[in-house]
Amino acid sequence: MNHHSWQSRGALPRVFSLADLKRFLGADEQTAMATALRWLESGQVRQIAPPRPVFIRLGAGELPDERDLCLALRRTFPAVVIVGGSALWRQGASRERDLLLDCAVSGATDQCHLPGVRLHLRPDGWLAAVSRAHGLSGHCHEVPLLSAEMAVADAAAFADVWVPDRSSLDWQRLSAERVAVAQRALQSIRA
Amino acid sequence: MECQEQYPAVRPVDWLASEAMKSRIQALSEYLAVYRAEARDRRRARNLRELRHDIRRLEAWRWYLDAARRQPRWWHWLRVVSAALGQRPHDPLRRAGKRRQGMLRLSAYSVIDRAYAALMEDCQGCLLALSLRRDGGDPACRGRLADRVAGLNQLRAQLADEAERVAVICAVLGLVQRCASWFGLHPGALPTVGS
Repeated sequence: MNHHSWQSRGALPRVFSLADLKRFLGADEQTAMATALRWLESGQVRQIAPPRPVFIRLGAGELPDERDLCLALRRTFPAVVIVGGSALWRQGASRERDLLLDCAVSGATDQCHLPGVRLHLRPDGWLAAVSRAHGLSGHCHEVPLLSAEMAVADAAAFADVWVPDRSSLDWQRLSAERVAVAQRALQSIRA
Repeated sequence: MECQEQYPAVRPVDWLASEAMKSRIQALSEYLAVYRAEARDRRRARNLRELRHDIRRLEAWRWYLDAARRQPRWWHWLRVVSAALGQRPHDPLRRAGKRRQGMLRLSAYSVIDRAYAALMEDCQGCLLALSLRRDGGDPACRGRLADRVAGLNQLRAQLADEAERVAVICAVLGLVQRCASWFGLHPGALPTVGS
């Protein structure tokens, strides 16, 4: 065990940024970078979505729990939102659970090294349009969720997220009027 | 990773500063969009106010940096005034008496410093991602990223030296921006040519 390992200090969180690492080590920039690189090369740590400077401690084949997953997403993408079937299930509007957590992000990213997550790119202005139309409702470990109606409208508009079959949806929880409002809000940014 | 496109050849440090402001404003605006949708309780409403305030200060500082390229008359005036008003008090007792002002200054300083630090960490994250590639990444690209990190370190050191002056500039331009928005003007639309 080298003297920079978090086990010996016991305080570096599971999800951490480069700034956290610098503070934790109390070392200069070069030392922090060298340490991060060594951990990344050894596979003890993953860079969540390169080049964003946020990392997660994760062993090979290990799956993070939903709390860590959401924390990692929130720290990597400030405006991450849970969409599609993942939002519908967490809103209680679907009886079918998602296999992967579908999330919308605004910044382009080549890859995401978080198991169990699928990212979907949304255009500039998407979050503002969703927010104006009151399309966010509730959280999952502080990651905002699309409202059930907005999740349906968003899935129809972008056609890139998983949604359950119609028969698995709880239609009593979905307002057709609000779905129409959400669709109109999204049309403005699709146009 | 499209390094050449993302990180063009050496740019003056003021460009880098402006870019840091731009990306931080964008990040905070994203937080703002999320908070705005959910600002129902008091804590979130306070966060919303703080975020708006931080964004205004970053916009003010970015406005000043962008104007530095054209150097209009108001920019020279503001430079002189901020240098005069933003002097560090030598007398510690006088300094202690200005606690509230000091807190405001520290806050303006930390908001801008955080913006520089965030861009620096993005560059370092990029360097780490390149290092993990089998080929180690394009050396020219690595060099450009290292230059940007050095430039941002230089900006942070400079900022620490002139924290008081920066706070005065942010306060003045922030007020101008507020007045402009009352009259329905966008700060970018304010007169700049020799004004």
